[in-house]
Amino acid sequence: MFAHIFKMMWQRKRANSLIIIEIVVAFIVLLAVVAFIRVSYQTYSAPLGFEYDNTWSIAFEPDIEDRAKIGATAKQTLQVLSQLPEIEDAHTMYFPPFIEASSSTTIDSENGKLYVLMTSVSDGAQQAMGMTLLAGRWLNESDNGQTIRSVVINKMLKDNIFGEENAVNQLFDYDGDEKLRVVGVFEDFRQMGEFSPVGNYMMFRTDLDNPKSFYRSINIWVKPGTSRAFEEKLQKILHQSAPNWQFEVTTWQQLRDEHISNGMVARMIPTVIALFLMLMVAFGLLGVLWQNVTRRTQELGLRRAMGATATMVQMQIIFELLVITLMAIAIGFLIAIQIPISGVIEQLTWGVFFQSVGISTVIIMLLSVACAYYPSLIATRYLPADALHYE
Amino acid sequence: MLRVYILLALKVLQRRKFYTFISLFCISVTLMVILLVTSLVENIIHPPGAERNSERFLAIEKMAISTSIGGRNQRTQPGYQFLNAVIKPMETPELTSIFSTRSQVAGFRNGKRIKSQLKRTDSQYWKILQFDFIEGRPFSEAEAKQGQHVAVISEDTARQYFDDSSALDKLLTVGGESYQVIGVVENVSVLHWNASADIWVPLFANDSTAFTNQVMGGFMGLIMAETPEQVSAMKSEFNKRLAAYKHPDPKRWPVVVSSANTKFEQIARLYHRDLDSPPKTKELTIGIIVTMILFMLLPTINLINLNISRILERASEIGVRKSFGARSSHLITQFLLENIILTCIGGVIGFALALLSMYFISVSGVVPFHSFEINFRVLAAAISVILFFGILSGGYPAWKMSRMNPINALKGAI
Repeated sequence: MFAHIFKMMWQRKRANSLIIIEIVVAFIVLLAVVAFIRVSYQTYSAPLGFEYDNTWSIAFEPDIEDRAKIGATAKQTLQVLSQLPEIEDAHTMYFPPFIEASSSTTIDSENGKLYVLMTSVSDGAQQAMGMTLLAGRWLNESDNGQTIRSVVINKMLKDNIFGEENAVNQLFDYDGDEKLRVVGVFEDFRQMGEFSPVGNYMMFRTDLDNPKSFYRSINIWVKPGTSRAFEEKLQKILHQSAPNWQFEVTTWQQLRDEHISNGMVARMIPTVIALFLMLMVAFGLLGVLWQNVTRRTQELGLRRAMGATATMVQMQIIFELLVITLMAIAIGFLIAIQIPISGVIEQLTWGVFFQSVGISTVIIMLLSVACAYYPSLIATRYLPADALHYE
Repeated sequence: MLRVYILLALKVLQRRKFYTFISLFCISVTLMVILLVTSLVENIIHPPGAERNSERFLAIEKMAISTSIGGRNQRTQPGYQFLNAVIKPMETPELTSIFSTRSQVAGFRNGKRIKSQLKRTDSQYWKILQFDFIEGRPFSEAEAKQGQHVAVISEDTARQYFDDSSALDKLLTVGGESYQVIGVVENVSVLHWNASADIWVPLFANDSTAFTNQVMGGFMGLIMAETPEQVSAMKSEFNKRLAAYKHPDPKRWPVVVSSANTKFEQIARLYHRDLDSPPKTKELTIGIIVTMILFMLLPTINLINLNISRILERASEIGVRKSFGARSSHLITQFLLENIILTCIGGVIGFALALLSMYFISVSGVVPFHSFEINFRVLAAAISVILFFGILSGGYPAWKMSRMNPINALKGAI
């Protein structure tokens, strides 16, 4: 039966061309939105690599008139903070996570130029953040005073530079003439949050005794259950410890909430618009099909007179639209496949593409069955007598 | 004749209410989305309110220093030292301003924490940006220079701290410092990020002047020309001065990159963070136009399909009119007119829906302090969308129908 309907529809492809175009466009729009959400979900669900509970960030604006004093003041502030009963741990970092501030570099490798985000943290910060070490060790005092600086790198950067080989104690080129030694490989540290693309990352060690060390935030791990009211006390203590510095206190949770809500809004807008468009297409198809069925009273009545059952007539109407939809999806697929072939969008891998095609196909097919259902029901109501009396 | 057509059109619309509903739904929803998007884009590119002089100013909001071109780099906002050295000596701008980026500060009232965004600014800031003062005044040059503890606050902040009473001359304590309120301004949408903040205090109200030596971080610059025509001259002067600028540690950081951007370029830079290349404004424009066309394509094809179905239904009417001598042009005019009437009704509904959703977006606070506005440019966009819809979706079916063979049409078969 299906092959027969396909043949009939193929012969009427010109008459149905506008409906086909409409479904092609609808399919492509849907595919774009589904792929966007699928890619977002993939980046969102990739491991973040660190924990953000009970962590507060204190961004500061130091008094740099006396460069040598920055390190000493910061170290003293850190010590004051770690003695507070509410605080379990305190560490420095370039920038806190979940915000659009980062330090980056490009590294030459066999796989071409690599874009690498980086930060520098004081000893023990990785443990405090609950990061996962895959090989080697974290940075510590033994890295002090080495001629070749030590770094820990994430798994992606390790794979990009060293491939399958062991990376611990290996060197790589950094910034022209300098070489860096890898002492450890960690799972990941997605500084810019869940919605940021998964990328290369490396961490240096901040030596608090070195006045040249650069950092812009102190991060504290408070005892679970510490309320936000603690900030008032904290500000006073910070002000006493470094009177001329400016401090800005936020929780990592709060920074993450902002990151997530911005990311969600950016994904909700195209989704809502696509929903409206699909609703429009559904209504449109329903209208066209309804009119189509009304005009075919004679044909459908004749089929009934020749012994076709109501179900067979109903199936015919639904299958006709499904065949048209399949033709449209095939065309849409041929157009859309150009994007992964040309590789314009890096995150759109073949796996993601085919999954999105699958999801969009199912949605469009369900949509067309839903649109054809009511008109097909009307079609079953035609009696052979109506058809033969027509005109 | 026209009256007959219009009456006929209204009767036809009432006859098959389901089709009329679908058509109106398509038109109004499409127009609503178009209106929302154009209003938002228009509002960002040609901001009303505090940034109303945007055609005359350029913003310097990002900078990067690197060890070599394409080498290791640090990128963040410019620092005071850099801006002071580059934009203050400039000759083409009428006014130049340096101010801090928004920082979060907290104040406490009856033990409740109030979160605000604070900016430290100079006095020129108030001349470049045209804030609407509800009461009071901006701080003067002397106050800014001496670092008086005075503050201008937004309407919303005034309400949070002082309820409905006048905030003038009251003391405001945020981030451990107290300021005397000297002015209250209308809220500024967060989308106008050159101007937006909740509290503005003088740059030097800080005890420390350490920031004046900082090359990077925490500041923004605005330079304003007397007329929009002078903006490009201002830009080239900025680039010249930037090229001449040396980082205090030139051996370590030989390359300093930054840019002075128009409002539209600032937006283009949000999507292309590469500071080394010029902003991709052309790509952004093409992107917006292509997206809009793609977005409108679907409803348009949908309407064409629906209209063809509708017209087929009226085949016998067309057959009768043709046999009695109606010309194709008459029929085309009639059907186009019917369609334009339909589109206009949809347009009015879409306009109402857009106003409603703008109201809800404003009330919901998704975009803090943003108030939508529909000006003549947005209206022009809306009207052209309606015409585009009406003519395209009515034209093709009307043309197809006018070529019907009257005999077949009379039989109801095409």
